[in-house]
Amino acid sequence: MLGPVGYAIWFLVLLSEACFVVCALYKREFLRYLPLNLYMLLCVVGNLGVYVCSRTYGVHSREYFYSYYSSDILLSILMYYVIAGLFSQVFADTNFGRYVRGAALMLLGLTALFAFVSVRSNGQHLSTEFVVELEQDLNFVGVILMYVLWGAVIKLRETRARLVQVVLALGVYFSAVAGAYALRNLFPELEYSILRWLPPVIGLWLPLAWTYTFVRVPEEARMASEHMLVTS
Amino acid sequence: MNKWIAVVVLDLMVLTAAVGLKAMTTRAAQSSATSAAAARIIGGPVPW
Repeated sequence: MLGPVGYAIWFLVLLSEACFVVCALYKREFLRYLPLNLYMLLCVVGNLGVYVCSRTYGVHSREYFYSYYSSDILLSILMYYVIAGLFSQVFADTNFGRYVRGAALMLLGLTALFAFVSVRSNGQHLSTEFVVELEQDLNFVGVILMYVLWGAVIKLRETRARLVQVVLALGVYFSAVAGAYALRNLFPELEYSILRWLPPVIGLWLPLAWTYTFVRVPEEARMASEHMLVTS
Repeated sequence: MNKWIAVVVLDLMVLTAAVGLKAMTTRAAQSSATSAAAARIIGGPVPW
């Protein structure tokens, strides 16, 4: 079971996710940013469900295992929907805008196909292995997509402050997740000490950054284009 | 038609880069669902 620090981080993550949804409802922006809000809402529901399963059945039970991975695969697909939505917003005024949805669906299909081919040789537990493999693949596709999206934001000189901050927060999140696992790969001896806490702390970053953005940055806020040009 | 070919090529490039990055950052042994089960922690991304 988790210790006090684990439960404290878990509670903070849950609180910040719920805070994001409540703020969106309060400011009547829930429908305007539907993908982001749906993602956060599902995070809250998934976290609560996983907590109930962990308390009822224990963290080593099959019930906990399935509840964890089924909620996580749903969240990964929803996160993919969030990224596709951000691409649509960034490319809205360009010729590429109408291809975004098709490209996103095609990439999701290709990723699922790749995950299936990767685990097909495992005769046993095919569906379980597939879910874990797809979840990993979607995460790394997300990392690459965030860099492509950031390149597009720079090139198209996107000035909508909210959009830029949401993209940056997601970029930091995906990069940190990839970095955390790279560190685990490089320093396996630290896996059960400091590196154990990195993924949950990274999980806290996204709802906090998004909540800050939506509370402090108004919808009509624009960034000076010089700021964007400096980074390019 | 040409643009759709470009979209497919772009998708394949993204997928290839993602698979390469995954291979560099995760250990093969950890892709086993059963070994990951023991190391999970709630409240964050999956510790594979």
